[in-house]
Amino acid sequence: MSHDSTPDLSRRRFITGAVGAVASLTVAPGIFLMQTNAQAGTKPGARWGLLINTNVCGDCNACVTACHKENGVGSMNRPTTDAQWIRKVNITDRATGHSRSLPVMCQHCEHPPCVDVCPTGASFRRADGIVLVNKHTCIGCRYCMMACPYKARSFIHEHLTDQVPHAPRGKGTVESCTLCVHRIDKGERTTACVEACHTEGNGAMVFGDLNDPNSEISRRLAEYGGAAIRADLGLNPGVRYQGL
Amino acid sequence: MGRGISLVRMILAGLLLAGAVFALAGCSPVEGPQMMQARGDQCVEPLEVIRRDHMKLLSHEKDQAVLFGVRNPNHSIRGCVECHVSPTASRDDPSSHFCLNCHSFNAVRMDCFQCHADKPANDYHFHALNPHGPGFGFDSAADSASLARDLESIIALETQKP
Ligand code: SF4
Ligand code: SF4
Repeated sequence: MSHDSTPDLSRRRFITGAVGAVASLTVAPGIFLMQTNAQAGTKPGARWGLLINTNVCGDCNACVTACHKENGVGSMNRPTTDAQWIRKVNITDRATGHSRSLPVMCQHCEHPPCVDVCPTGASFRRADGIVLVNKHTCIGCRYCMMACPYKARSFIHEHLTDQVPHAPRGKGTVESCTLCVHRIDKGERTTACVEACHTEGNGAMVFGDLNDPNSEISRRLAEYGGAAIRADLGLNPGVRYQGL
Repeated sequence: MGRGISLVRMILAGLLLAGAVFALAGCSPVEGPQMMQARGDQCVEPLEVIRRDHMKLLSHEKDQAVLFGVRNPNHSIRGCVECHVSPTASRDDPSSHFCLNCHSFNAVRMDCFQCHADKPANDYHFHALNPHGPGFGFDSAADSASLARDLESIIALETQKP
């Protein structure tokens, strides 16, 4: 039984053993050889990201509504402390008066400051680039909220009930966009926001593997480019914007 | 004189011991909590293993799932809840909730359900040994509905001018 939280592939292979067996093998009472029929884990070599075309994103809230419905994020009727996994931000160029509206969520930075500051290692980056909070070890200190330049994280102030099974959330922990990790681990290749943007919104968002040159997102980025918000910080976020 | 006192002491001690034995003999064994039926006929592990060591399995599983995306429905808390907890169970009434029922009997306070859903979702996710079969959400491959959605969005993207 490993309480080791370092992502170490060979050790994990050793512990999980042969794929395909169903039950664990009990060596002696209380000691197991873990064998699982679990999925293989994060896709090797992948880096998941989003591309958002602000030229077509307009006065619409479909992604926000869909995200919060998918993950059971509800309002407590206290807007100043309600959790926000994704929000619409309106920006106006003061010189020209030209304005834009774009969704902003956790940018899934390659060099995430939220991970640097976390005293417990609860804020971490998965091998496939998704930045998450391990709520089993989060102590609710909110350092990561201070460190995040995108104000992507929210703290849960109140006792919650009726969480959705795939998105555990609870009082005293910090949370943010998970890039719909429950879908990705199931093999799906879209997120709730991207799906809603295509069915109800303006089709402004693409989800995909930034490391796969043949993916839709990489082809679009290669052809039209895409900017990072606050690129000056050098965090190399996995969320890119066009038309800013 | 000294012998008389020690004799009295011995008799008193003997009486006390006998009293204690009688009192204990009068107690009936403590009755365990009334547990509810699970959906399906078989648990993921033999009963003596799962009763004693379910917390170890869950603890191992949580690290694998959260850190590495290795999700094993047979040892997930979600899997337990899907089979064992009734959709009408309530956290406020432990006797209606499989996990809380036994934990409150054993005076074990666990915090799982402060974050994790305490009731099954509408789409059940059974483990592989349950004759009802695992729900589609536990398939490692993409399900047909999500594939269809992916295709739709790809087609929409191809046809749309950036
Ligand atoms: S956007 Fe904020 S929360 Fe997300 S990875 Fe970057 S620093 Fe962390
Ligand atoms: S609030 Fe939690 S995730 Fe954020 S820095 Fe503190 S312990 Fe880490």
